[in-house]
Amino acid sequence: MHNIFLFARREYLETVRKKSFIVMTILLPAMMFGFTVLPSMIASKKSGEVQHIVIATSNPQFADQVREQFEKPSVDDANAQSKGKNSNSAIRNFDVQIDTNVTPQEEDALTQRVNSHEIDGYLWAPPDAVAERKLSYRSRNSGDLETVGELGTAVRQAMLRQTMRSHGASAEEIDQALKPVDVQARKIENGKVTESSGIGTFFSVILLMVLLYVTILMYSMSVMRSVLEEKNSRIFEVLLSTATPKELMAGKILGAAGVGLTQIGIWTLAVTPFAAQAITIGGDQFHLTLSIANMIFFGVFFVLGFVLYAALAAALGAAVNSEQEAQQFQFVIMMPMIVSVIFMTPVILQPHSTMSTVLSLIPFCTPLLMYIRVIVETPPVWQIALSLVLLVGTIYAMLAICSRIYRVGILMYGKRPTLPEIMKWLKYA
Amino acid sequence: MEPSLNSGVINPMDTVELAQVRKSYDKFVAVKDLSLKIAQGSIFGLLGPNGAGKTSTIRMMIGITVPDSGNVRMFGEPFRREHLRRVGYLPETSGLYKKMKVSEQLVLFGQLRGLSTSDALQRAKRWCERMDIAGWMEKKTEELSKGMQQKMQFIATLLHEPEFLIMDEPFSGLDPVNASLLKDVLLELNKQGRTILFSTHRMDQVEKLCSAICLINRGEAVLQGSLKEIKGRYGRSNVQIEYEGADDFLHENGLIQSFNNYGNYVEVRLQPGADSQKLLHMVAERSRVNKFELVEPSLEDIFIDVVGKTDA
Repeated sequence: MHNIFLFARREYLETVRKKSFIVMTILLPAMMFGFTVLPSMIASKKSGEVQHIVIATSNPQFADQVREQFEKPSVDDANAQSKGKNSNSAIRNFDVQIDTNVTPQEEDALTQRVNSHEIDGYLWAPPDAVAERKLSYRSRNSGDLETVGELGTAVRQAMLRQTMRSHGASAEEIDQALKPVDVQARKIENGKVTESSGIGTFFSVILLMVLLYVTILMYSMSVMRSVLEEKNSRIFEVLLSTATPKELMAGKILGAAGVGLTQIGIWTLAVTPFAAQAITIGGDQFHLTLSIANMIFFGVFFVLGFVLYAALAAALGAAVNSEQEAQQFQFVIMMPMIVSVIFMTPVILQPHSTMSTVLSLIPFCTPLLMYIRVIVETPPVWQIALSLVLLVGTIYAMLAICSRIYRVGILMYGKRPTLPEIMKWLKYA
Repeated sequence: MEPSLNSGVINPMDTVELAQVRKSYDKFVAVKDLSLKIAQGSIFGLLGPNGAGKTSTIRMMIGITVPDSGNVRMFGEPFRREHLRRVGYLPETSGLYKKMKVSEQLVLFGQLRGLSTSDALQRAKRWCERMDIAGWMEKKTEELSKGMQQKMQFIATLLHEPEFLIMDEPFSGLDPVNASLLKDVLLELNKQGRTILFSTHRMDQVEKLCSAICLINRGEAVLQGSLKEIKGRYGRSNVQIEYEGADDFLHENGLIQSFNNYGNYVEVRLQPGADSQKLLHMVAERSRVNKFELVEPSLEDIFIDVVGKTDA
């Protein structure tokens, strides 16, 4: 035990003192922020410039209605604003003109105006098209789905209003009838309705999952590299005259796990002050749901998942002679992780389906998928317990196998071992 | 001051005893049923060319690998891992953590051998002064030259004051001054009663140090015993000649078995039973002789002789 502690402490101190540790501690959250929050912030701020749009339809009253619906913040947005929260679509800036001439000549003329950048696009709505409810919005950028969508809504609302008015409804009645209904997801936990919203849970899960995935992968790879480095510096010859290979491997894995926990701890502390604040992503706001129980489970699944993958990585590092060789085998370690990520969304959406249950009980997927289930919808206790038992059992077996590969591998130099050769190592006394 | 470790022991036991140890990797047999005894307090040479099985033998001796068959005894008992606290092993290639500070690393090695932190640091400081690298203790290991790293590794094997020192190619990478410094320290440690095992292919380097040797080739012991006895067995059948003039005398007679010519200086091995005086006459007839000396064969000569026979 004394030796394991010495090796773990050495590994821990060496890694934590590295510049790369400090850089990663800052960079990873920055990257996650950059990939999730930033694009939608940029997207919602893009329209500092005015977009010029022409609505071409023969009925000026109808055109006015559409313009009114399109330019004013929709009822939905107004609702959001009244709650004092910002909404991205209100920031978009349009200048809408009306053209009541719907002759083919005018169609050509409008097309030319779009082409010459005079206007950005036009809604082509001749009477027959309106009757058929099939309009087209023509612009240089056919990918501007947001504008197309909003135009569609505006046209539909204008038509509705027209119909309702023709049935004698007043403006207030129409507004009242068209008011959207807000349905919010609320999670039930331990028989109580919680404040956490569905979208909040979803993003918390994704966030924690990426964190779990990245840290497990990053640190098991760093274990592999450090084993490889020590193998190549031939330090094992000295160490093995005082310690057993098992002690070396255990020390290395525990040291790296300590580093990972430290990093996660730093992130948690840094995030805690902001956890109460709403975060806006893509126009929706949510609260991060970071309950104490969730964080404890995070720690448990990180440590177990990490030990499992780090043992594999240590054996891999010991078996090969260079990083190039290691790369050819890395997929063995990456594969179950990638599979877990692929099945992440189905498991979030249906955490109690048979598929989710089975997948989350596979030890190599348990750290990610069982953790998802625990946050999204706490599964039966027996399932959590079973997954942990299976995971710990697998870890025990993998440690036994990997320490054998490790023990032989660290003293084997030269050519890359084949799989049959590695199998033979397992039998060496 | 000469604290002898074996004072009071009437029958000095063997520090290490290997009995018929064998190790094979796949089909390749690295060590073939090797038996040897290293007497306590001796300087023992494990000699042989590259790939002869020296390092494999040492690894089995200290439990890094387990022999396929045969027995290893250490300090008079069947080998146990606890014995390793009394052993210091300097491996052939220096193996150090590159990014660690010299002092930290030496302390770690001391701790691994059961020393307390303060004890380990104190001893490390003392040894670094002795080995002339005291000024480098706060540097990172990778900043040290190869020779300095070798000295650092040497210190790491000594910190716990082992009774048995295993030195695998200890002088490689050292300049003559440092090699001599290392040799002096080792001789001093031997005087204190510690057993030393040299493993090397540079036989000339340890010839003068060893009291007993084991020559191995292709995993087998080809010659072992006390150095005196072995050399005595081969007699003074070698001649060193310094000459000026023609060297055709080397080829023209039935007296010479083999030779190693350096131009004005030649080492000659005589045929068994050949008369050295006859050779002296022949050389003197053709060339000017500055020196003509009968010497014991070097270990290298003996090795080549033995291996030549077994390979034939």
